[in-house]
Amino acid sequence: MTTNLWLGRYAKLVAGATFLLIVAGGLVTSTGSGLSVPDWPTSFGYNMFALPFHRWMEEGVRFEHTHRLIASAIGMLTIGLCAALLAVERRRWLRVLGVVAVAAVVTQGVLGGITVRWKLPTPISVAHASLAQAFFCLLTAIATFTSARWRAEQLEPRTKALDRIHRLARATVAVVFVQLVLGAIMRHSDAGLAISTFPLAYGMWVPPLTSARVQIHFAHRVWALVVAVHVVLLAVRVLRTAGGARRLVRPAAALLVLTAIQVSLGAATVLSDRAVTPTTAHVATGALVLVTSLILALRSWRPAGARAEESPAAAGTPSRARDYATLTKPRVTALVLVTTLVGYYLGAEGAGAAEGLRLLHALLGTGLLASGAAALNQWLEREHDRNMRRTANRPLPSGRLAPIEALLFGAGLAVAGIAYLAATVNGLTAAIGAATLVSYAFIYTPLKRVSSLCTIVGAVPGALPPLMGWAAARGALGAEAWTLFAILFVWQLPHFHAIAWMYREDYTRAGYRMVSVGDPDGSATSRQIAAFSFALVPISLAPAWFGMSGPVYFYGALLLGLSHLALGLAVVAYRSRPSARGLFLGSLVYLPVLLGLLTIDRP
Amino acid sequence: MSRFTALRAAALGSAFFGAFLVGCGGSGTSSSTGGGTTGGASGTSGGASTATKRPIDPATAGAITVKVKFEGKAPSLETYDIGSEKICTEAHPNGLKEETVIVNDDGTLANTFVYVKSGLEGHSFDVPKDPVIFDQKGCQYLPHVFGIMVGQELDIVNSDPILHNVHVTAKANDSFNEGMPTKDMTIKKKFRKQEIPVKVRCDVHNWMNAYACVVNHPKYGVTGKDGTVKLEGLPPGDYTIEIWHEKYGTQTQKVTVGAKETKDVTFTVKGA
Repeated sequence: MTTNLWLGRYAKLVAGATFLLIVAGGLVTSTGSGLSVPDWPTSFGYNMFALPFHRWMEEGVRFEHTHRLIASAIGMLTIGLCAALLAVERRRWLRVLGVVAVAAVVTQGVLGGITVRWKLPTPISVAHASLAQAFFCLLTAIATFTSARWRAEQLEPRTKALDRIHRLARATVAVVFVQLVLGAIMRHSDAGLAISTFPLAYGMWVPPLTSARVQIHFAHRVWALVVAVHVVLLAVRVLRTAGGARRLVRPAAALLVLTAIQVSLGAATVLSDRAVTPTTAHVATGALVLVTSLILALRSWRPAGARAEESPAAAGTPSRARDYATLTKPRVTALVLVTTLVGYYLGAEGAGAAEGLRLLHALLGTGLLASGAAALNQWLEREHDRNMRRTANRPLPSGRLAPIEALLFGAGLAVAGIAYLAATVNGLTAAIGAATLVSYAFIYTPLKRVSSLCTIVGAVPGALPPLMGWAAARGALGAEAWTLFAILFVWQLPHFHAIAWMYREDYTRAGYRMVSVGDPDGSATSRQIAAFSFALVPISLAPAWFGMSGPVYFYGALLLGLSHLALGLAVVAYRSRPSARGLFLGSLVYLPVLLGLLTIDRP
Repeated sequence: MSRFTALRAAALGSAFFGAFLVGCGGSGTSSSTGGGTTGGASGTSGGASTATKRPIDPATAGAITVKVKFEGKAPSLETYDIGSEKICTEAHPNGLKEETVIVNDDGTLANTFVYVKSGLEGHSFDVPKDPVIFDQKGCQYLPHVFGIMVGQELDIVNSDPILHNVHVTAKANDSFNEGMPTKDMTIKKKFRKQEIPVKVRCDVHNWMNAYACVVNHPKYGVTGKDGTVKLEGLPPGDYTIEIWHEKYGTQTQKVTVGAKETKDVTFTVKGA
């Protein structure tokens, strides 16, 4: 069994390294370095492992030769993986997959060599790029099949809901793969800029498809919509029917976010005139979208068939380190840091190393403080968390950590964070940090069980991090900073009402007084959702009034705000759990895109 | 019922993506209209001060004849892969070669831009009333290199019945990128500042490229089959003449012109 554990880890390592190889290969094409080393398998006549360093570092060669070296390493690692599978794996089909992986990596190497020798003929380059993605999928599959979790999951019952998720995920994998092949054809026939405007094609929805380059480019754009629809449907299906199973919810959420990023990277590729960074990031993110949908398809797959009886949970108890990490609510803390970063970026007037250092200090201090606040919050709520299914397995309610440990840990981090901000950034940032801590842990948290006003109070600490970022950059707060605060504040209310609606029974059981709890027909909650979604539209446009951003932001924010409003009004109209989930998901997309626009369109 | 709500959620979700797509599109338009709006009035940029403007006296004006010779071996010109679009292949049945280094039979170099770099400060010039015609014909830009005065009208014409786009990337002037989907469509543009060169390209047909050379006076020309440009109507004085070629860059020479005098200046461009 221990051997299998290591086999699983090793397979994950090879899969991760393959992603690096895809990035390296993407860089070769993005920088136009494909022919910088004219020969193969030798490099400038040298054995490729003996190429002198100064030649390796030449223009172009540094990309192409590095790609060849990483590729050789992956070849070795894949052979090792196959040998390990043949030695210890009992499932015959998995041993076969190991052999297929070796065949694929060898084929891939030869295709790479041919494309160099033949001076990059489009079909060979496309085949090389497509096989790279297929190989990445293959290794991801092997890594999944060799993981202990997957083997345990196979013993779990097969449900109709799971089968439906699996079918849609499988279709999504196919649709994404087609998109990557289209992308490869476009890239290797130099059609990446055939339509050099975005989103419209030279002012037209559909350009005249007279040229082959325009045809392939336009196909890639249209197919992107097909991908987006699949991804949204899949994410909705997982969130609706997976019963909150993290193994499925996490990749589904990741898929949604990655796809949103991917669309913006596609736009950035065109609008930056195919600058190396966005172009390569577009290739890399495409690979991640593919593999994430594949992971969803595999995790929802129960090839073992029969609706087996439930087996005891095989997951085991998390380690203490993991429990401490859970106490810091890493995802919430990450979101806090992102909004701090945006606040800092928008407030920053200078540039260079000093600015970068201060930003690092600000993020570190804020991170410490946010982690501490999260731990204190869980310490305060330890009794109530026991009563909610969603939170009962947290480290404190489950009894894995003692309350005193969490209290010391949280208070220590929070105090350290505030002191660190005061010492390295400025007093104002530290003061706002302290206000955030107090309003979150000592006002909002207790208020949750006293009054339904808690949601509004809770939105205050949630909206303060961008102010901290701004204060760290400027040392003072202006109207622009408060604009950011207002956007974050108003955004949170429909967002949290939607969550509260989705988990209302849970909240009632734990004695929390969200609006939705004392509001069985949902009229009060939906009124608030409507009001705040409405308010968000003009407030989100304020940065354009203050000259913090330009027309791109203005129209983008307007459309985002109206779409968000539409989702909010759907909740009012249907008062259903799916509509609340739609608003929740929509608000999750809304905020990063809005902040992205704000940073892109900064004057 | 639940299927219906799922579809609705998906539709609303895609409304988000739609919103996002349009949101990003704005940055394309802003890059062509924003930036550089602080430029001076046309015709007066480049150091000429309005206070000392004076017209040129034709009685004393001289001229400079500039000849561009080519020495050494000219690089062999690549034949473009112009794809399979009928309009392109029918216009160039024997293929289309790049237009970078065109050496004339007499050993002179074509497609070289020649202009007065300095010596005309303080003189005012009328902007020519006739527009410069820049054509897209047979999937080729005509001409490949051209001069235009600041403020002069540029008529960009599409003589092909297929989609071309005109993608101009300028530094001192505003960049733009416009599609021209129909035959005989014309776009009128003006440049506001001196800039040599401004690159023009078609992204639909990635071999199509050209250079606009924008000067704040009318004393310029592009070498043709005789490799020569005559700069006329120059008041007596000291001049710096510059030539620019897309592959060989710039060269300058100083020359003094007396009253009614015509001076010859020869540049030599060396190939490989």
